[in-house]
Amino acid sequence: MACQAENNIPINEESAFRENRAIEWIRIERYWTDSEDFAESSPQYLPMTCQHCGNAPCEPVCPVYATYHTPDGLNAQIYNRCIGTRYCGNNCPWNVRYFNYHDPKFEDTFTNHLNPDVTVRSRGIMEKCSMCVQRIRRGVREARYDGRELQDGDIMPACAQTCPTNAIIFGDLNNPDSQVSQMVASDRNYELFGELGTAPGLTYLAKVDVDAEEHSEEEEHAAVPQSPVIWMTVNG
Amino acid sequence: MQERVIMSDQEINNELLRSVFEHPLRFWVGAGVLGIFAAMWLISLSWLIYWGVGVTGLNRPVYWGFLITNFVFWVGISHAGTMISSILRLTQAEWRRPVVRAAEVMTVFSLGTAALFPLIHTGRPWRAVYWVFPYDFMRDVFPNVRSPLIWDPSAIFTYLTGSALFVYTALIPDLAVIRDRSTGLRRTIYGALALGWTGNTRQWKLQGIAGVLISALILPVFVSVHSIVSWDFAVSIVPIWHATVFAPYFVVGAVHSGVSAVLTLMAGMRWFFKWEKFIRPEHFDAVGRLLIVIATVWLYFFFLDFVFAIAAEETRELAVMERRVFEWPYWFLLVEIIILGYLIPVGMWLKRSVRRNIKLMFWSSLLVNVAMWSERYWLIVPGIERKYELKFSWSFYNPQLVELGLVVGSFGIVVFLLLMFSKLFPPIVLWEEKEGQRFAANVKIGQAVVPAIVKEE
Amino acid sequence: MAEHAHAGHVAPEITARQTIEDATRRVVSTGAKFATLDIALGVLGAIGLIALVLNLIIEGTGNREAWGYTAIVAGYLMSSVLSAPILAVLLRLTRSDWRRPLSRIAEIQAAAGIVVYILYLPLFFAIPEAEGRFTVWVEWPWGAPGFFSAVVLGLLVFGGYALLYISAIPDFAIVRDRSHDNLPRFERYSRLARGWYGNLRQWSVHRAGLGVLGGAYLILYIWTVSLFFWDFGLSLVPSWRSSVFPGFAAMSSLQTGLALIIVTMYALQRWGGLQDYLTWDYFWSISKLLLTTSLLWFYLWFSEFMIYWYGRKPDEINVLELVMFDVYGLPMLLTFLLNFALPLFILMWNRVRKTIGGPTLVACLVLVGTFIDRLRIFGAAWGVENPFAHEMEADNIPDFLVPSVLDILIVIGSLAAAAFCVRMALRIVPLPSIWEVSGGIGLRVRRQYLNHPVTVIAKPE
Repeated sequence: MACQAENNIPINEESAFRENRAIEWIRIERYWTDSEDFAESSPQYLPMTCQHCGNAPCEPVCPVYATYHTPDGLNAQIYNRCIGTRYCGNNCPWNVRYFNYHDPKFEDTFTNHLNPDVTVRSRGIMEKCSMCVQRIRRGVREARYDGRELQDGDIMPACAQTCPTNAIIFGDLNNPDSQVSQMVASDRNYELFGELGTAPGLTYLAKVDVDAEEHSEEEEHAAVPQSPVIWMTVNG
Repeated sequence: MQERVIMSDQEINNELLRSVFEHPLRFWVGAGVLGIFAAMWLISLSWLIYWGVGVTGLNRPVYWGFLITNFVFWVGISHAGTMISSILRLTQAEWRRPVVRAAEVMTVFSLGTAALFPLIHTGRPWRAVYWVFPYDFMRDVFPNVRSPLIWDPSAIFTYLTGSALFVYTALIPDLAVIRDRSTGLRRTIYGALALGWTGNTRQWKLQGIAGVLISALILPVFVSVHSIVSWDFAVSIVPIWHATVFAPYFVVGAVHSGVSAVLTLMAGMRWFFKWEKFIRPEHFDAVGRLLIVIATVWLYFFFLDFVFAIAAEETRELAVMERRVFEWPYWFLLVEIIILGYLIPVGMWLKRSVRRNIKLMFWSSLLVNVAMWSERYWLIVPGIERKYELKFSWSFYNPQLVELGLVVGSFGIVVFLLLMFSKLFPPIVLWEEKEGQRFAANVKIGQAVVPAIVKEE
Repeated sequence: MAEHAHAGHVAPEITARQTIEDATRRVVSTGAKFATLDIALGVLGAIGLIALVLNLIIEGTGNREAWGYTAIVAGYLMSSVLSAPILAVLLRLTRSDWRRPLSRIAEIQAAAGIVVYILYLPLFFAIPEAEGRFTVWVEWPWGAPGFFSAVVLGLLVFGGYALLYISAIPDFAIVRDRSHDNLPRFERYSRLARGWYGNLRQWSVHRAGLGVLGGAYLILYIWTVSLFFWDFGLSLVPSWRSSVFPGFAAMSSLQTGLALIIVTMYALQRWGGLQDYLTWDYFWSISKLLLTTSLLWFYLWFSEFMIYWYGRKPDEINVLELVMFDVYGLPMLLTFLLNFALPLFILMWNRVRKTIGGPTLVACLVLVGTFIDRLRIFGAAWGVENPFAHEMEADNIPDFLVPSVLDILIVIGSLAAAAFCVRMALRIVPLPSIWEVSGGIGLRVRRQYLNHPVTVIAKPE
C-alpha cells in the first residue's frame, strides 16, 4: 500500500490478479512449509521486489537501453524509452518486472493523490521497483543543502518506512558502520539465486526456525547496493 | 524413367506465362478467399494496436506467446527459399529448377510477415522505430547492440534484402520476355524493370555470376538469421531456453518446416495452374528424399535438446519438463510433434510410391508444418510459464481470439501475396526450365536408355 | 590421363582390366616395398600395448588422471578411423559418381577399429558410475555409462569391419579368380569371397546389404560418438551441460574422417601407384566437403560458446575458463586455427581446392587440430577432481593434464597400431574398389555438347 501510494501504481482490480497481470512492485510471496497437510503447515513469507542486480540479466537484452544501470548501482527503468518488447521480463528470474497491459486507471479522487515526483506509466511499457529513487535523490539533495554527509537512515524507501517490524532495512553497503553492512556480514545473509552470478543488491537473511532449527527462505532485511556516487556528491 | 516432356522454348513461355496473361475464374475465387483471410489479419492487427497488448492472453511472466511463436515459425518457413535455391544451385541439383522461384518468393513474403510480428507485439509499436532505425544520435541514444533484439532486425533485413535481390536477379530475363509480349503501359513498366535485357552473351554471363555470388553470400546470412532468432531465447537465463543446441536445432527445424512448405507450395501450384508438365513426380520424389534426411537430423537435435534438459536434474529445469511432458496441452503437443513431425511423414516418404503421389505429399507436408508450429510453441511458452522455482509467480497462458486471428491471418496474407506475385511475374523460372531442357539428354548405355544431365563446371 | 580434365568431373579413362591389374597388384605380390615401415609401426604398436598394460598395473583404474591421455587418443581415433567409412556410406546413398575410387579408402580405415576398442577397455572401468552424477542416464544407473558404451562401440567396430568386408566381397572373388597359379591364396580368397559369382541375385543382395549396413553404420556412428563424448567427456565436468556438444563432436569427427581420407588419398597417389585414379578432381570434390565441415565446426562450436559466454552464469563461465580460455586456452586457440580458420582461408579459393597439395595440407592441419581438440576436451574432463560436484566452482578448476611417459607411449603406440592395422588391411583388400570403379566406367559416355566435348555420367536409378 505504501508502495502503491508512493509510486503511483494503478489500482489492481480483481481481474488483474485473475489474469496474473497485477502490478505490485513489492509483493509478498507465500509458501507453505508442508503442502501435504494443511493443518500442519505454516505460511512462509518472502517479500519479493526488484533485486537491483549488479550484473542484471534484464539489462543487456533491452534493445533500446530502456533498462539501465545507474552509477549508484540502481537498476533503473526509463519509461519513455521503453517500447515494450518484454524481453527483460522474460529474462528476470525473480519475475519482478511488470508490464502495463492497460492504461492505468485511478478512480475519481485518486488522481489527486498521485505522487508528483513519480511518472504515471502509460500502456505498453515495463515498470518495476525503483528503490524509491525519488526519495534517494531527495535525501542526497537535502544532505547537500545542509552541507552534511549522508547519514545512515536519512533515506528510506516507502516499504522500509512502513514495515512495522523493521523487516526491511535500507542502507549504504559502502559505509561499514551502517546497519545493513553489519547485517550483511551475518552468517544468515544469503542472495536469492546467488548462483546465477547476477550480484543482487538485495540480500536476505535466513530465518532461524526455533522449533526445527532449519533455515527457511524468510526474508528479513534488504540492503541497498553500493552507492559510490552518493558519497562522492556528499563529499564534494 | 522419363517424365520430362520435350518442349520448345516457345511452348515453355506460353505455358508458364499463363499465370500472368490469363485470368481464369479460379484466380478470382482464390484471391477472394485469401483476401478474406488477409482482411481478418488486418482487423485483428487494428484491434491489437488500438486496445494494446492487454487484449492478448499474455500476463506475467508469460510475456511472449502466440505472436512470437508465429514469428519464429515464419522465419523458419523463409529458410526454404535459400535452402532450395542457393544450396541446390551451388550443388547443381537438377530438380531445383521448377521450385526455385516459388521458394525464393515465399522466403521474401514469409520473412516480411515474420518481421512484422515482433514489431506489433511490442507494447508501443509506433515507438519500435527506435529499435530498428537508430535515429536519435543527437542524444547519444543508440540501440543496445548487446541485445539479441537488435541482432534480430539486422539479420532479418539483411536476409530480406538479399533474398529480394536474389529473386530479382533471376527475374530479369523473364521480365524481358513479358516485356516483349505485352504492349502499352505494361510494356513500359516491365521494360523498365527488365533493365534493358536483350539476352546477349555478356548479360547471361553476368547474370550467372550474380546468381552464384548471391547464392554463396546469402548462405551465411541464412544460417545466421535463425541462429539469431534462437539466441533470442538461448542467451537468456530462462531454464530450458538456455540451451547451447538451440541455434543448429532451430536452423534444422526451420529447414524442415520450410522445405515441407515448399512441397505444399509445389503441389498447390501444380494443381492451381495445371503445370503437370513442369512440376513432376520426380521433383516430389527428390524433395521427399531430402526431407527424410533433414527430418532425421532435426529429430537428432530434438533429442539432444530434450535429453540435456533433464540430464541436469535441476529442479527448475525439471519443473518445466514436467509441464512440457505431462501437463495439458503440452503432453499432447509433444506427442503431436513427434508423430506429425516425424513418424507419419517420414514413414510415408520412405516409400517411393508415396513420394511420387502428389496428394499424399501435399498432406504429409502440411502435417509437418502443423507439428513445427506446435514445436515452436512447445519450446517457447512452457519455459516462461514455469520460470525458476519461485512458484508464487508461476503462470499459464490462454491465447485469445486476437492472437488466433493474427496467426491464421498471417497464413492468409503470405499465400495472398504469393498469388499476387504469380499474377505479376511467372512463378516458375522460364530460363531455368529452358536450360534444363538443354542439359537433358538420353544416353544409351549398354542396352538401356537412361536420362542424363549435363553438368556445368 | 584425361584429356579434358578441365571440363569438370572427367575421370581418367581407365579400362576395367587396368583397374583389376592395379587393384590386385598390391594383394598378389607381397613385395618388401614398405616392409620397414610396417615393422616399425608394428613395433611401436606393441610398445603402446605394453605401455597400456603397464599403466593398468601401476595405476589401476582408480586414478582417473592416469587415463586421461588414453581417453584422448581413443576419442581421437574414434573421430578419425571410425568416421572415415561414413564418407563411403554417404556418397553411396546419394549415388555420387565420384565416390568410386574413394569408397574403399574410406572403408579400409575401419580396420583400425580394434585399436579403439582396446583403448576403451580400461576407460570403461575408470569412468565413475553414473549414479549421483549428472549424466544423460537419468535414473537409469544400471551399468551406465560404461556398459552401454561398450555395447554400441562394439557394434560400431564390428559394423566397420562388416562394411569393409561386404563391400570387398566382389573384389575378393576377382582376386580368387586370378589366383589359379597360387593355391593357398586361391583357397584363402575363396573363403573370403563366399562363393561370389556375380549373378544378378547376388548383386542385388549385395547392394541392399551395403545400403542397410551403411545406413545402420551411419546412425550408429552418430550415436556412439554422441554417447562417448557425453559420458567420457562432457559429463565428467560439473556444469558442462552443453546440449550442442554431441553434435559438435559428431561434426568434428566427420571433418577428421574426411581429412584422414584426403591424407590417405595423397599417400596412395604419391607412393601407392594410384595416380591415375586419384586425380585432382577427387581432391577438388572432397575438399568442398572439408570446407563445409570446417564451417560447420565453427558454427557448432560458436553456438556453445555464445550461450555460455552471454549467459554469464558463474559456473558456466568457469567451464569456459577450463575448456576454452584459461587452462586449455592455448589448445583452444590452436584447434580454432587448425580446424577452422586456416582451412577456411586456404580452401576458400577454388584454385587451391583444385590442386592436390592444398587439400592435403589442410587435411594435415585438421588431423593435428582435432588431436589438440580431443586433448582439450578429454584432458579437461579427466583432470576434474570431483565429477560428482553439482557446479563448477572457481577454485575447483583443474590444472592442465600433463602426460606421463606411459601416456606418451600409449598415444604414439595407438596411432602406430592404427596405421599398422590399415597397412595390413591394404595387403588383403584390393584397393581401389574394383567393382565400383569399373562399374562407373560403363556409365560414362563422351558427348558433344555445343562446342565442347563433355562426359555424360548416367545415374542408374
